[in-house]
Amino acid sequence: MKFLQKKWPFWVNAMLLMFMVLLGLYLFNDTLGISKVFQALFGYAETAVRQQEVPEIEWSWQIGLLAGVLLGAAGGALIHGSWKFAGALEGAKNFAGKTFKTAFTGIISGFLVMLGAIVSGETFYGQFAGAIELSAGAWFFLATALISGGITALFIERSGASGSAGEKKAKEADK
Amino acid sequence: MITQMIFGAIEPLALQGNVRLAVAIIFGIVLGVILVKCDLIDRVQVKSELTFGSMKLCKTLLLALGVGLICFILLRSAHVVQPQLAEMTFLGTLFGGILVGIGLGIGGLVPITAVAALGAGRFYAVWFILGMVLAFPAAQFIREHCSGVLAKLSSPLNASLENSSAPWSWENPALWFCAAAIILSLIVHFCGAKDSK
Repeated sequence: MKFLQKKWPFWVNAMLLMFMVLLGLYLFNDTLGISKVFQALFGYAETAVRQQEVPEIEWSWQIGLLAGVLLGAAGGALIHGSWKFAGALEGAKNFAGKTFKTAFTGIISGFLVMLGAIVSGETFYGQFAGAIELSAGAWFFLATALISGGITALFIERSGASGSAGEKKAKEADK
Repeated sequence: MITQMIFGAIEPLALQGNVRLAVAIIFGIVLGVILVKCDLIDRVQVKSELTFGSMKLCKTLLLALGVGLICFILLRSAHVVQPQLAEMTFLGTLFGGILVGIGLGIGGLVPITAVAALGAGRFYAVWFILGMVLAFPAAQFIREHCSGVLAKLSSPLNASLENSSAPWSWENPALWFCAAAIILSLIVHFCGAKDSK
């Protein structure tokens, strides 16, 4: 239990992330990304709205994976002591600012990340797994994503548009 | 040959049916714990990593990729795992990577870490998931109206890093990538900013 409660060194995190990719390939013999499950969930929602009835859901293993991640993260955060209710992003000043900023940032970033995943063929985790599986395209994707992510984050930090300095201060105040 | 001696006739388990679903849930639980412990659900930490304010995730990912490449080559030669890759195109990977990067720079989350963040109490991740769901009709629209243009501009990108004729020689690019990733990870660890305790 103490092992779960304390911070892990970076090499333990690295070995575990790598091990999970290889274990997933061994257990499921399938692509490890989750874009298909989100596509399926969107399809079910669309069918439910169009036909006004609950569609029959095919319980693929990736839905189980997502449910497991949700449960595991909740359990891990509770054991580690990092579970905290956060309805809004840190750093915004008033209620209206917090709500609008949180919603706007969340929707835009989620939209771009998933659109990018659909266009490229797989989500970030799937591309990380692909990079371990010797895919040159996955390495290209990771390099492009991290470079453009760094440029975007630097731009936002310097312009101060998202209050990222406020977020860091709020995080330090929490500590 | 050594790996074949050790692993014998092991092949991918490739579970099916309800067992596959049950094992996937357990797999997901373990993965969720690991994502929390790696601080990948902390969007401020991830954005700080992107601007090199902190280097922990950088060296974690580099080391995971470097060691993972070697382990994958070993396990694949013993037929324990097989590569399972999504189909990709050059322009799709380029534009997709840019879009994901911009989204990551703004929000600090990717789909799987958004779900993990939601589990860890960060309910603002709901907006992120809503944004992800809205991407599907947009992608459908692009596919319907621009499919001809996309098909003409894009060629498949299914290249492998590996030189299959000489997997264990330095002519194999995969070994170069592996060495570079591990060396970079060690350089960042010993020369970069110390991790916060």
